[in-house]
Amino acid sequence: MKQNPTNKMNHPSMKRLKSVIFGLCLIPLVCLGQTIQFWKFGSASDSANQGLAKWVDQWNKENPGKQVQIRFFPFGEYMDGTLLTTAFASGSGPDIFWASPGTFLQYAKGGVLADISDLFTPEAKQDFSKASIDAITVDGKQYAMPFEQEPVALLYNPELLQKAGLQIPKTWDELLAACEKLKAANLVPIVIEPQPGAYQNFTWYPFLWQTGADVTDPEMTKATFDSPGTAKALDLWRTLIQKGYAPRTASDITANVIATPFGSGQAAMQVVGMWAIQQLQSGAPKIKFDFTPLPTPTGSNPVTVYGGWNQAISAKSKNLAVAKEFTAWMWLKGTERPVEWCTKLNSKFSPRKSVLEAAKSFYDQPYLNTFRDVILPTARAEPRYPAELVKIVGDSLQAAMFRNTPGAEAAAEGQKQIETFLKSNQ
Amino acid sequence: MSGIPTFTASTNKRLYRRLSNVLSYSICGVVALITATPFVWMALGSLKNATEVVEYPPTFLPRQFAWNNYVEVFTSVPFLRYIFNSFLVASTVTLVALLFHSMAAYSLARLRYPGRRILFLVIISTLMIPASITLIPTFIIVRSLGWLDTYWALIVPALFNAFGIFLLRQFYLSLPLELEEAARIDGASPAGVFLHIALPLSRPILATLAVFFWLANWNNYLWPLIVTQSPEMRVIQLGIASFAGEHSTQWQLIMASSTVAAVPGLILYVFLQNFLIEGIKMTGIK
Amino acid sequence: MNVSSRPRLVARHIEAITGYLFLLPDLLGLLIFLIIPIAYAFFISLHDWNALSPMRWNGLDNYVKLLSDTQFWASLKITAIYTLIYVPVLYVISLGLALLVNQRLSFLRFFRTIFFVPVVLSLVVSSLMWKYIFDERAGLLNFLIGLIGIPPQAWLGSVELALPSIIIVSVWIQMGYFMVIFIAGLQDIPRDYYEAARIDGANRVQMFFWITLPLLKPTSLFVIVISLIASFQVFDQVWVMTRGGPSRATQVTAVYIYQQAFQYLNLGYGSAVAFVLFVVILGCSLIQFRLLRSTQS
Repeated sequence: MKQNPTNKMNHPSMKRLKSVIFGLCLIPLVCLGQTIQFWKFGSASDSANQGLAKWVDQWNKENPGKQVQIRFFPFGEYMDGTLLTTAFASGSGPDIFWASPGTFLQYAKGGVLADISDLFTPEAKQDFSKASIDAITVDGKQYAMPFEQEPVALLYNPELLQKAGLQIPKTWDELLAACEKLKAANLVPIVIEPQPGAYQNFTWYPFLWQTGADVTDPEMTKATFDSPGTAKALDLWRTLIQKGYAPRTASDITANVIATPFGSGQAAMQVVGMWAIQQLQSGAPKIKFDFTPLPTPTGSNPVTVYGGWNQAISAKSKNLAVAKEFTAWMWLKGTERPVEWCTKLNSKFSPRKSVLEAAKSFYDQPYLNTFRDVILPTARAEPRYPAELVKIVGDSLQAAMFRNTPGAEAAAEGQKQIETFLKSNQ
Repeated sequence: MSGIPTFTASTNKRLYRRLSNVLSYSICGVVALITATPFVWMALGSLKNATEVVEYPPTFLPRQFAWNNYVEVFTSVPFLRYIFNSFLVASTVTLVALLFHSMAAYSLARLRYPGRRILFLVIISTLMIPASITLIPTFIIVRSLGWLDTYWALIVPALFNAFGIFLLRQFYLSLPLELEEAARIDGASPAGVFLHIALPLSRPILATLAVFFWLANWNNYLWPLIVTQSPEMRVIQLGIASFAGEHSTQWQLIMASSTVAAVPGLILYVFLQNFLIEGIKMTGIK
Repeated sequence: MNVSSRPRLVARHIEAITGYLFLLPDLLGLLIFLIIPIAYAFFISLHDWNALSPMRWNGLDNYVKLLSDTQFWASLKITAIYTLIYVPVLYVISLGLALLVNQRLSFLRFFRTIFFVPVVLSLVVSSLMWKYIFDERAGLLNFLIGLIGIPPQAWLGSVELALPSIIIVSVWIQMGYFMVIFIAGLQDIPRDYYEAARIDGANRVQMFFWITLPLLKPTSLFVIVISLIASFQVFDQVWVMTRGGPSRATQVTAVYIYQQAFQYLNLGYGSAVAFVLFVVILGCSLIQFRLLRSTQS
């Protein structure tokens, strides 16, 4: 008798095959449920991210049931907030991500960050610098993992300074005098960030702090912006722009030293961070450069700022334990990976003393030794001001720079707005 | 008398014509320079190496033509895949949206039914909301439909945009009524009039819209960024943006990838332009 | 009932049903992917929400707050100035270009393509290129004006010139777009009208004002309303070129909304500002519709 074609699928061996296939199909679903999402910025092809991807591969190989998937997103939207805000607002955020100091506090207060204080055992805490622990501590608990520090200093071109017959400026007055001479010699005296935003503030804070002033008190409850020191710091940048010592526009963020007049050998000085070393060495090898601490108002102690991302874990993560384990493996377990991050994949400092020690030979190189011995010890952590506070400070700075508003007036206006903001945020 | 040119009215007119032609061409030339310069700058920059592209003062022609920038664009990110994704999305959206919008626009322009004016106003007003505010709600809807990281999320929400409906409606309003009335008298249904009279006549405007839709979806950036996470689903603008980093941006790669991205749109426009001219021959007559 | 009115009634019904059916796919899609999100956004505007914690009902507090928000009003003023300059300039230039290339002269197709190039580039890329052109030291523009003796300007770094600079870029980007739309509209005008006018002795200027412009009304309405809507919502160019600076000189409302919603995480407040902007745009558009009420041929 002719076999009914539809019965073929119900043949016993077919049935077994179907269930096996069904079972196999479930495995990826099961695995997918366990995979942690690690979202980072940049491109999959840049060397630092390739290094991270290798770490993830190694972890995945060693931990079959605890898979991590790393994904890269364009920096602008990662930093400016669209990406993560949308993801968290709809409950579909990543398990692990990087938070800047500004977003850190916003997210911590919003309950999005997982408490990872248990990772910071007393021995672990000892290894970190106090500033880096304080930066990620809220109400006595730790909510993110610090892993890098990049201080800001004065980058200068010794050839250009020499040509203009100038010494390295150490005070604000010397700086302005040098700028005047350099401008007369038809060079760009100094490059500072003209565009409003977190980076502009970040590079300005050292000048504010050097006068002894600050935006708020350490607990961020009281506004202290209106002070003679603030006015002086605002007036300094105001003078730099209004007198034409610094360009009013930049085609790219000035953190990209190669794209500024300094990278083309047209500018004598720039306020920029440690990352510039690598940029200049690979992208502009003909430019002679060196670093010195930022000039201070006469007689004050040098102070600078350091920046760096922190690795955070989402409190809503469905794999909290694995995410914590992975984070600890990346940054706490031994010094192998932190050293690789800070010395091979990038050029940064680590907040951990043991890592600095292990990479001692690397930091003994020129420029880096200046940073380690002279600049880093004077560096304060980038403040964790939420974006609104950053904008208020930035508005005062911008008003001084571009509307020629006297520093005292801009500071007073800023003070008022900070007070309003702090009140509405309690 | 013979041999001496006389200035007749027709000579005057010819002179006037020639002057106006010269003027036209000169204005065109100036405007062409203005429109082309940034693009030329970008194309030239795409052939400079990393250091030269941001040099102060800038160079005009590259010292050495860095063709490898283009190679790097295609090898450092799966750019071909991005192109494929963008192409698929843009083409699908264009075809389906044109169909939907021409029907909707004709309905709003020529068919009578209660509530037509209100519906038109409601549709137009959807254009007036800043897109950033509807980003999260739309994302939530798309996520609950299970479309995250799929072509559905890229295609379906993009289909519905009042811009095309508005443009086509205005176009249909400006068509002379006689043709349609004649067809109605001959016994054609409203749908028939649309299919046989209005739609063929709207070929120029449909060609125009096709280019616009295609470009809008091809150049779309923020929405695809939010709804796609896997590398295989990325679109071309995301690829371009990936060359911008935290402290450094590879300008030469951004320019190279942007130049590549600009080509299909231009080809489409040139191709459809011929079609537009065909359209002239049809609508120019009574 | 009158025998002859029956088929007319049926015809009317068929027309109405066809009307609704033709509208249905778009209406349904717009409902799900635009109208519901807009309603949801309005719902958010009645709350205090930072995207991370649950929403907190606020009622109309956000709206009351923005009445006294000087930054909001300043942004509205800047947006209004931008619109008042951008829309007419864009209209005149794109119509002018359309008239220019619509003539029966050779090579004009080549120019038509060139004029369209800005439309092909993405907004972000165009803005980046122009940022370079506007650069104080290295920019092409200062180089050119230097040739005729004008000192270099700060353009995007000047409180007075930043907004006009952005307007220039926006017009540059969009003029090819609307030129194409005007071309399509111009080609709709039957040539016999011009023939008849020429026989009657009208010159080109008269033909433009008495034939072209009136018959272009539907297209003009479209161009003005669309460019108005776009200009009130301008964001990408500003964000890329100045970030709202220098010193808030280019802080248009769309930038303010973005900052509130995605950076300060005041999603409720940001939505409220967006809806106020929506009302402003709606009002202006309705005025345009009234002014340019199109007539049937």
